[in-house]
Amino acid sequence: MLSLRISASSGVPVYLQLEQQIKQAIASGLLQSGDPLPSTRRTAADLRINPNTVARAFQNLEREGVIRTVPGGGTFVASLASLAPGLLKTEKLRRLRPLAEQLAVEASQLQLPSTDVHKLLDAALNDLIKSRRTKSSGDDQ
Amino acid sequence: MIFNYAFILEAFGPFLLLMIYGSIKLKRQRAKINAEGYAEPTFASDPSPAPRGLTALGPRLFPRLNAPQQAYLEFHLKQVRMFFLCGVYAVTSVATSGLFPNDSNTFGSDHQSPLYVWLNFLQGWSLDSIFLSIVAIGAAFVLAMQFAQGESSRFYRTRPLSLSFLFWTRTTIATLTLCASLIAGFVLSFLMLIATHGLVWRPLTKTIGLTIVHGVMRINLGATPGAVFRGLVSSPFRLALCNILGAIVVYALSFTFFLLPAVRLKTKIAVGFGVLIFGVMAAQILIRSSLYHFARLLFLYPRLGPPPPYIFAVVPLALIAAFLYLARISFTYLES
Amino acid sequence: MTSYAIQTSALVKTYGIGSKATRAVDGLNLNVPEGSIYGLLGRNSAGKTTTIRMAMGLAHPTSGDIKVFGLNPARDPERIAVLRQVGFVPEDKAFLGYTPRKLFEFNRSFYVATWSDALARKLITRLELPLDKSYATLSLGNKTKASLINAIAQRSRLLILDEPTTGLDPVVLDELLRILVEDCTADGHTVFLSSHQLNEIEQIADYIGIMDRGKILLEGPLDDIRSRFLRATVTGENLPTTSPSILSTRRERHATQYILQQSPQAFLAELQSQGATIADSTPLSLNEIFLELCRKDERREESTVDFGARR
Repeated sequence: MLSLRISASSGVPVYLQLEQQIKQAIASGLLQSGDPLPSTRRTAADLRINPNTVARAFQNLEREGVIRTVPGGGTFVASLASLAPGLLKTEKLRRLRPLAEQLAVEASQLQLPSTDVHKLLDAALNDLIKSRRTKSSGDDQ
Repeated sequence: MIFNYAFILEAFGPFLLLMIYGSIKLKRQRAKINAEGYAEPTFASDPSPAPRGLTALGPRLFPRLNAPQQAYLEFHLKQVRMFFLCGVYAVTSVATSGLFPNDSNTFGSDHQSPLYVWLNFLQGWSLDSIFLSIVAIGAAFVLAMQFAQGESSRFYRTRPLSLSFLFWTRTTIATLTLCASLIAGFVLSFLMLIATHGLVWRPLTKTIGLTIVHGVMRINLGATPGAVFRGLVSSPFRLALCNILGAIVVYALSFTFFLLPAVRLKTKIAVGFGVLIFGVMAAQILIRSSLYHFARLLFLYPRLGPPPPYIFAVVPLALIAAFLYLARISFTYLES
Repeated sequence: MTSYAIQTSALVKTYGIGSKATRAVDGLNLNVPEGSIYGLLGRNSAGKTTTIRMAMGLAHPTSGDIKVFGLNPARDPERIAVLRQVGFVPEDKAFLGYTPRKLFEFNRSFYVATWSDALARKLITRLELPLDKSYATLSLGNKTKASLINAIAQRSRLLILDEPTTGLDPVVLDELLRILVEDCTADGHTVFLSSHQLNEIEQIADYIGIMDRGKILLEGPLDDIRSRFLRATVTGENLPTTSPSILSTRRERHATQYILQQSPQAFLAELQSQGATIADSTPLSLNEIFLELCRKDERREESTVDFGARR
């Protein structure tokens, strides 16, 4: 089942945390395309947060094409195949830009040379691919 | 004034015993419930059982009340029985003080003569209005505190009931209960006189030249040797009525006072006590003196003599109405 | 066109007379949108309970206006229309009735149209309330629970909770939050709670109002408020100390720390364009925002207090 952890006092808006964690879950394979998501009200009650906040996060995710609602009820994770082409490359870059900047700031504060930063990034990407591969191979068996 | 200590004990003692008994019973009940531990809570969906008896009176008399109003009415009618019984007991014991023998020679030295018994009994009615005032002030205090203090007042003011309904229902019920217990008390004490001494006034009409004119008995002055009469006539009905109306005026006045919004509770209690102890006694003494005629105007009947005419009953009735309306206005500004 | 569950306009409530008069509420402009969970935050003597009492018709305003669903709660017959739609949990959790069961059975007859026995049962089980314990033996937490269930089971259009967490242990508190989110916001109902448990409010509220000394210091959607505040550490020369964006400044040895209250990104961009460097910037939690606002208010007061000054 989906386990989300929201911290109301971290300073990051709650709806943003929710969006990020759902995207994270999809990226790491915990949520796969076609999986149902609990209703807005249910999610709000389980997390003890305001239903409007959850609604806002879900709306944003739907606008980005990450999830889709079926008329007649039910929210589902959109198929990844349909997701990617829907977003232009510039849009994708725009989304990742703040993260890259944050990484750059932190790295420069720690005085880490840029080659090490690149190595770090490559390692993280490889780990993600590896874990997804083991998951799908595990499912095949 | 007759201060018969045994009589005071008889009148108010049982209430003390009742309170002690009640608190012991409550403690035992609580201990029993707490010992049983945490039972599976099942909260009933069944509507509360239909009201019976006195509590059914409300919905039957006023079917056009909506549900919240009926709930409120029903709750307060339940409390009426207890207060009525307490009131009747208190008033009867106060009103029968005239049956206790005392040392004065006001009505002759023969304490067994019908004349003595009769006049002593009636004097008991007239002189013990201080104790009736205690009952009246006590009732007013209890009622005012229900309106002004504590969770019950705040609870009712936050239910969908109009302030007028809240006020008048409870006040009317309380006032009528007080009225009923006063009337019942006086009637009971009269019955007790008959039970203990028989129809005492009957022989008086024959032997001492008592005549009844317009329902009022008249005694001829000086007809009995060795007796000193201070008054001329005695009319038990009117005497009782004066006492009852007087007590209700005291009740209404105290109620209005206890309900004043800007005064603190401790001050109110202190003043109430002060009025009780000093004020009423002073009033008694004053009335016994030359201010007797003023007393008649207020429809008071403090000593045996020509009774005030019935028309003066308008005065206490008007005072009661005025005080209660003042209290209603106070109530709007309470808890502000 | 938003409709408001509660709205006040220049509301004032004075207690006492003459020189001893105190203004518990001093020109309050409160706006609680319908359908929201509104958290009113404030210190102990900020005037929250007085405001709530005026909304329930228990106190009369000295001047100004208060409306609940557009109705005046101080005067019959509008008062009754208000009370029919409001569930109320007062600040002091005194208890009426013999046992919680008797209280609920009595209360439901006042709200026949909206009371739900099923909801009451669910709440009793979830909050673990002993139904048949006599009132004298109920702990404070249980009294709070009984008060809460009594109000929530009414399923009112507006639920007013004054310090609803008194005496509740963390498990029950968590259940309460879930219940407020799950059951009390259905059908566009509004929840108005006053508390100084900032963590809980921050979680479930979507609107907040910060109140101090009888006035609203800040009010609005919680997300907007959070995005308005920022703590930034800046290095550079001739850094400004006053600006509408700055709530407070603190000079440290090598840098200046700002608490910004308005358009923080624009302000920082301006500083950067003048050559300053932003060393660090972090958002503030609601608790920190609250403390900073109240401290600023106090500092302003302190400069005007004349305490034992030598003449």
